[in-house]
Amino acid sequence: MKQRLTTVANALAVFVALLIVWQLVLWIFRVPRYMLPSPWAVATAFVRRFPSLLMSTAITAQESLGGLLASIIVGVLIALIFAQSRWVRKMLYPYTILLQTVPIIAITPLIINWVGPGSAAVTLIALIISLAPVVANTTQGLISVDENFVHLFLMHNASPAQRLFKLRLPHAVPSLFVGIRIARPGGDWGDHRRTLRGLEPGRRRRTRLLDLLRVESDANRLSLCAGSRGHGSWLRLFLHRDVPGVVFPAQVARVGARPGNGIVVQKTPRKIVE
Amino acid sequence: MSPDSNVPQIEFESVTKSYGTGRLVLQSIDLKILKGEFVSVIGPSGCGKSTVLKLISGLTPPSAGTIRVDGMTPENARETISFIFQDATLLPWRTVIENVGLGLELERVATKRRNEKVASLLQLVGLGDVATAYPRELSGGMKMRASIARALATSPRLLLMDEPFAALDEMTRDRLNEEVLRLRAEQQWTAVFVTHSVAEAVFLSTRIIVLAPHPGRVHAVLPIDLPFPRTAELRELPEFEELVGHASHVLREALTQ
Repeated sequence: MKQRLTTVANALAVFVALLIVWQLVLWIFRVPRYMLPSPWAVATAFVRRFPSLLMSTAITAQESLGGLLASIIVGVLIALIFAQSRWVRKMLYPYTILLQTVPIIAITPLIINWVGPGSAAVTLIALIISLAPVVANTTQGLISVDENFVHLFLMHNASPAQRLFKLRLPHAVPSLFVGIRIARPGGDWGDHRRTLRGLEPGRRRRTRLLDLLRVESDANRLSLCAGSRGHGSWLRLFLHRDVPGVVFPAQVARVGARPGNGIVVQKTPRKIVE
Repeated sequence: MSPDSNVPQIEFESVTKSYGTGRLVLQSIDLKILKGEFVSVIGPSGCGKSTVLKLISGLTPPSAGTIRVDGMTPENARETISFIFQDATLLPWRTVIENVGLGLELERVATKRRNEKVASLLQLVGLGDVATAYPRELSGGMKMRASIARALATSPRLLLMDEPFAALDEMTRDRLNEEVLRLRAEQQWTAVFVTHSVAEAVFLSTRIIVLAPHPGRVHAVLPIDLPFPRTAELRELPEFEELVGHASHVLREALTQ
């Protein structure tokens, strides 16, 4: 408790120091207001416009959650198809990469032409952005079932449906959560949805360049963090405690042992019996 | 318990197995395992010990030759076979009771009968107290007991075991060996047991098959004529040590041949 207080106090101290520096810079260099408003001006604007900000936040939350939910549903369905055979993965995998590498900004005008500006477009874009991590991780979870488990099920003459629902799907749940963790708002991609608000009609054009840069840097960031961290750490961050039937250390350890390369469909570390 | 008359439960007729680009794993194996036998397969790594079990269970087909289990093809005989793997292979999202009942569940046995069967098996292997625990909460030995209980739940006539106790400490391994014999005396299944441990093979078996590597083939068959029931004290008898010494010698021969 005391330690937490100290942490908060330290952070607050830095915050106050920054405000002071900010205000000093304005006074000393006589920066005009349109170049950099004062902390006070920002604070009052925040309070004055709070209702509008709150509403915008609600809309953004709704759109990004809608996009995320849609991407989970669509992503799991695609992953199920991917998990069917290596050939299917080989045929369709390049398009997953394509989807990931095309800057979303580049196809945004098309999307707006298709569904019109506004919530539908933003939700659809959120869906497209979230899709890749969900598909990649869920596919990995579905196909990385230990060979012995598959043999165990075969020895009991398990039907394909039993193998899917009693083995592969439950086994893929932690990986699915990893995907959601990466895809969710506030996750590594989260900024997009906030920046996408800038795409709505009536906003100034200049934000577009900024958006583009941010999307690019985010794409890099995703590939970096997805490549450098194991699934396990993501999972632990996402679910802080054990949920019976969902999370289990052995599983986490096993999944965690393999770095979750954002797109991992091709790298199947174990021999899998189809 | 002695092998029942001369009814063969498993028959290999000049079975050859090669993988992929012609890597020969097993070469013309002829084998007859009788009902009620406990046969251990030992041999250096790479001699195809595990492949023998996969062939018997039909998880992989032979490249040449024929295999009969209970007079049927291995696939058709699967209902009567249970497989115990090297690691316990318990589903981590299921409790012990749910794991032990898995086989019965997959074979669509009614819930009530399944629960009765699982409860009695958990008692039998001494896991009654941890029935609702998750695998992660169990020790290595307990996991293996659960795995054994799961294999026995479907009332197999043939039990295939692929180095089931390799990862356990020696004391746990010895105790589980004794329990395996106790369970076999009660339930009368035939067993094919793959192991690296000569002492374990001698303690458990009525017969030991020694494989030689590259390609895998039968080097020797050693009958183990120690009387049943076998208990922990058997390990201290000079006959036992003599048999272990002899088997180790044959195993070395197989390796250097």
